[in-house]
Amino acid sequence: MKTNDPFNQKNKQPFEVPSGYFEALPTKIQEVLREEENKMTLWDRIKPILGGRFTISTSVMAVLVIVILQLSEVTTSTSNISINSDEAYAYLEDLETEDFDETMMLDYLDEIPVVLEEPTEEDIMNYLMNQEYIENEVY
Amino acid sequence: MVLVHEDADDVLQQTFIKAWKNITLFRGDSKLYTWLYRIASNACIDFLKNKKKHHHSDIDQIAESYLNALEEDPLFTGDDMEKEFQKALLTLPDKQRLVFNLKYFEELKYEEISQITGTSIGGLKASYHHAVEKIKEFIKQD
Repeated sequence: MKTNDPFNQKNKQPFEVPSGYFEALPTKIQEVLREEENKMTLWDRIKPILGGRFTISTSVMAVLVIVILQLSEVTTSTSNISINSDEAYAYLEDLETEDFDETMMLDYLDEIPVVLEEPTEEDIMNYLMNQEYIENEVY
Repeated sequence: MVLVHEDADDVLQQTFIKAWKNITLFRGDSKLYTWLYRIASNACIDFLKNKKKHHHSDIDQIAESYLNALEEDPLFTGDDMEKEFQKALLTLPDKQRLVFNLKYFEELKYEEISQITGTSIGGLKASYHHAVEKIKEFIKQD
């Protein structure tokens, strides 16, 4: 028996379903699925196979592979650089003295290890003789 | 949750499509119907959210459009009191209305509703209690 208090009524939603609705529903759903399947991209097809939990790790792996490939390309291209001597001379001739920074050059020279050997008596004699020779020749 | 047949049809289709696509994720930890209820509940909430966003309308406007539709809906079999009851339900926030519907109309246990909504049983009891109080108050005022 119905009363004015909805809480005492039978708890039933007061809605009806159109006749034949549930009979037609599976066909409607299959149509929607078929339409969606036709619109699917390759990634959409692969994604369920990989599963949601692998998606992030797969993306990270893909990014890493791309980065590694690009880095190896840079390394390879650097190692393949070859300059012949003519090109090197041409480049050096084109350089202006202003291109060199004196401080940088001095720093560079400081970095080159200089090995000082104790001169022998013969070395000293040879040096002095050459020196004399040069002096005689010039003056 | 959605008082118009066209909307209920949309939500039901979405529910079965989502279930079909994600059936491999069903681990069997819960009963199949609980899992389906969960998908349906989320589909309902998402549908209402999208409707608000799409039509740039708030809860009141949607409730009003549903109430207007009820007036001429041949599929609505309720009397004036039941119409008033639906009106009162539409004043509840979507999630609270969902909890109320699952408890009152679907007669699910709090444990089951907890699995569906991911809310604690205590939270659900409080939510249901508040919903009942609001509905009573609404009907008294009207």
